[in-house]
Amino acid sequence: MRLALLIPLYAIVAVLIIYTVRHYLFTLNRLFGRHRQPYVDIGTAAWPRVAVFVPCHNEERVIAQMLDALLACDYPERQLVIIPINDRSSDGTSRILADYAGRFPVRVAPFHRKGGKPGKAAALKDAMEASDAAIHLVFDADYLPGRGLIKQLVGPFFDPEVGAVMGRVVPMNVNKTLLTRLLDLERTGGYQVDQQARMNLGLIPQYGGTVGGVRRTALIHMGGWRDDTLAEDTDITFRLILAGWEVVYQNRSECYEEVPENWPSRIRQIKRWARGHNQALARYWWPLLKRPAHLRRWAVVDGLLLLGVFAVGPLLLLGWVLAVALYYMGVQLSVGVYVILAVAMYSTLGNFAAFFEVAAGARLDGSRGRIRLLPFLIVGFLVSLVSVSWATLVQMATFWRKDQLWDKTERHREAGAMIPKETG
Amino acid sequence: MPGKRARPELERTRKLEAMRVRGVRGGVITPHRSMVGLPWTAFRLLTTLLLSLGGLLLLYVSLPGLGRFWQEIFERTIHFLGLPVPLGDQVWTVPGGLEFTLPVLAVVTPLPGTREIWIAVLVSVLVFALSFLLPVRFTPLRYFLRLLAIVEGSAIAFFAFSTESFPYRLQDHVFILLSAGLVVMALVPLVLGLTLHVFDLAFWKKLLLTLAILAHLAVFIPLQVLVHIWLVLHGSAVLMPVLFLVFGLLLDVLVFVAFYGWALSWQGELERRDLSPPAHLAMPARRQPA
Amino acid sequence: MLPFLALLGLTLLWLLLPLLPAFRELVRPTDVAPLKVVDRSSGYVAYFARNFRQYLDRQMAALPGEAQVGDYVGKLPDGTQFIRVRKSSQGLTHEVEPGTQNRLVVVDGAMTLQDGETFLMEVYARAPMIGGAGSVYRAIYADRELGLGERSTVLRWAHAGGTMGVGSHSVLRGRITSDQAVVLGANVVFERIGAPRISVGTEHGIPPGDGFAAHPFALPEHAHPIGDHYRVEGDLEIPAGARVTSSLVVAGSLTIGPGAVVEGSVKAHRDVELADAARVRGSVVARRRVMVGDSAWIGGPVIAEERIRLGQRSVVGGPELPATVSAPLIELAAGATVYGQISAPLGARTF
Repeated sequence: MRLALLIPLYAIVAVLIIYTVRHYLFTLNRLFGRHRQPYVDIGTAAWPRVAVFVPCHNEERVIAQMLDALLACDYPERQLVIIPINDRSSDGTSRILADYAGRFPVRVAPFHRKGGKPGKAAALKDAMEASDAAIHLVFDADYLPGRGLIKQLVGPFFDPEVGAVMGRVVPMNVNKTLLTRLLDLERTGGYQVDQQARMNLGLIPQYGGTVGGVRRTALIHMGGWRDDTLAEDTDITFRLILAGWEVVYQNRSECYEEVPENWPSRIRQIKRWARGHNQALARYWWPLLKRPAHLRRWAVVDGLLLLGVFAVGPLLLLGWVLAVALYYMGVQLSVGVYVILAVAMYSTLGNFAAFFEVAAGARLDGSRGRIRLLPFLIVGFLVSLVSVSWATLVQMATFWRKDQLWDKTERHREAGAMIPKETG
Repeated sequence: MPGKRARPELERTRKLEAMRVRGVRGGVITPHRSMVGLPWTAFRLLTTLLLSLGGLLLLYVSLPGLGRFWQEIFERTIHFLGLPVPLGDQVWTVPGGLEFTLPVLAVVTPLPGTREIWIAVLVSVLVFALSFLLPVRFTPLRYFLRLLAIVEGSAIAFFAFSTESFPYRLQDHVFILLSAGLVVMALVPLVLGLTLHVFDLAFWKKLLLTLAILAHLAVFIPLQVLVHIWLVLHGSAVLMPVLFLVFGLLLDVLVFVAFYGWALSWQGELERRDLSPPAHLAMPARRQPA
Repeated sequence: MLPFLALLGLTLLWLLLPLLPAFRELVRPTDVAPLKVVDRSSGYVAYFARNFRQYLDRQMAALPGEAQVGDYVGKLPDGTQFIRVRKSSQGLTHEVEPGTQNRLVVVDGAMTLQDGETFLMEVYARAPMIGGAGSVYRAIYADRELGLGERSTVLRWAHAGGTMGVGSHSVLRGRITSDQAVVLGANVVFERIGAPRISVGTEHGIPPGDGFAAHPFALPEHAHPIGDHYRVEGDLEIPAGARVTSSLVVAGSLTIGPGAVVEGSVKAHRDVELADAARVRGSVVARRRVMVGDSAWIGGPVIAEERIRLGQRSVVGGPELPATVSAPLIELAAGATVYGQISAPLGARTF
């Protein structure tokens, strides 16, 4: 009986150690390694035609500012079309989109969905045919792209191997609550260190579904967006990689986003991410393990670890349960086991970035003060851990269900609210 | 004189080079955060090894003194609390032949009777219920209270069905926490070496931090254990699981992360040098428009 | 009970001690502002130059009438010391030390500056200007043509509304831009240039490619299609005079033989080498190096993660086809021409 509990516990501890080592190596690489951002200086080119898709479901609070930001970008006007996807909105979104389409008839071309499957993935799938532009960029409605961002995101597509590009997401509403400050730290660890290190090392940066885009021919090659997934970003990332395309992360291409400001919003968001990510894990772990000839061994290893990132949470919880059970059985576990389990609680669950990775990212950002909040990571982690574990359990218990419930992230910004002024 | 002609040229070259990277008010124009890394130096590698191994060595040679210090704290506190707990010590030997002692209790572990179990049930249910009464903005606290209630619930379930088979005496609890605490202290210089000393903080700051964490844990660990002892002696062994699992090593790690976060918020040497005003630079200042 | 409460209080206080900075940051935040996202594209080379021009226009417009014409020494409204000369560089007086001008200089008339001058503040030239040999400039904005003498140094940026000529052995740090053309001498070192046309010595247009009878090239059997391109494992050599009609991604190194033509874009995970008179209509990307032979042509961006070498009379882009050449290190031979932008953070050099 003891062995039946010890073996899985040590297996879980081994997984945690692997992730810890992985994130440590990423941190070292980001701090000291050779930095790769080969496409960021492409400032002059014969810019290809770009369609910017903005999925909207009841986004009246934020969509106007988003469209204003896109219309103000320095991408050649004739080469850019903005396609807000009005996904069965019941608020003032339709009215706002009609107003913009009226004022900018060529540049803004709303796509209206009256029915069909709910969710961002389904919306993108339906709207894909609305444009034959070479590049399809996607932004969530609450994002605020800067003037130069579109060019920066398009630059990597001059590389014929690049199938998708991802920029860096920067929380705008950091100062609202403890949660927003913790999520800001999570994003910092995830983008400034994690994603960039994977780019540096030639591993698999992840396309994150917003502040990024996909090459249209790659999308067609893949069969388009899948509407049976809650994480269309993770899904397309692995389909592209497995098919021989490259995904590029560009740290310089930053864009403001709005993070959840209250715990229920955060819980809904992370549950959706977990379910979507677990779907991708179930679908792509075996094709990845079979290692297509074009993928390096380490890219495969990292890809598997990336797929498993949301599964680690429930594993950690299971590890604690096993540790408790073994405690009652009088098994004296090594102190190291408890230390590993304890240290893992000071991570950020969205990407399982360890506390030192978060701290390194914040230091590179020049944001030293917020590193003092590191002990509070356990606060956010506990909530995320329980939420993700519950979502995974429910998902496993209802795996036969084909329909996916899409929980939209709540918007908090007031329409017309001030955004941080640019500098530089 | 040799070098006489070179000096003005060098000065001029330095000024011009500084002008390349300094703005009109003397501040350094830094590369964008997406491009920066951290330069690596042999000195930092050396000091990292020195601090890590030195910290370990310091702890090692301090073990006898630490043991006596913990023994002293235990004796004085037990006397202060008026606890009827005979205290002894046990000699331990670490690799290298060094001997030190750890406090050892000679006391009967109070197993919970019906009364203690019902009190534990009542408190657990109250805590669990309280978690639902708290506003949503206290969600983390709600989850934490539920966690406490669930862990205590597991202890209640165990003792309700199988009191005599509980595998730990209070002495074991004390010993495990003290020895685990020593292991955590030993890990401190190593983990700092891997995750903090790689940064460009001043050597004296890194040294002080290492000493501060070790000193803090050297005081905290025995105090923590003494609190546990009092609680178990008055609340029975039904409290031991939650004290060990939630209020044991997790708190030691919390202490480390808190110090770590504080230390990494300090200014680095590279930043400190860049921010200092360029004394030699005769730059005409440009005032801000009124 | 009381003694225990005292012990508990002491333990809690001791535990909270290292958490004080965390609580303080939580309750009275010192660092809670969102990261400042810079709006402009990092690829906009003339950013600082345009900003300076706008700044100076505002300042000059606010000067009193008598200060707007003729030679003048004084201060701009924001307190910046400046000197304006109209007829001759002899008017550049009031130096801190001989040969060093620490005022912002406005050159109102066509002028040739003296050799060996150091300008610690910006120089703004309203008319064609020729800088002296061996001069050092913090930054220059020229509304019209600008000539930099041999062994000139620019520290931050330089911009010309007309053609900019750069003398040999000059060092151009920062951003160099022109609204028309930049012509570089030999052994010029620079970091970043943006102009409709950038050439080393005489400009060369797109080399004529119709003289070669390019024959179709069959890709190796193991090449497999991925969307809009073909992937080839290992190295690939396209023989002289061959024509490839698709884009290529090569897992090893790619060699494009003399006179060969690729109608799409190419990428190699190692090196890309274009032999003399080879042509690629799209972009060229390499994880290591791109070596471009004499009179070769590339229609799109050229990106390498280590080094790029452009051979004699090679051309990147075209008059209606702007492109960027970007690598940590770049070398350009005489006659090499780029229509658009060259970016070399570790340095580019003409030879």
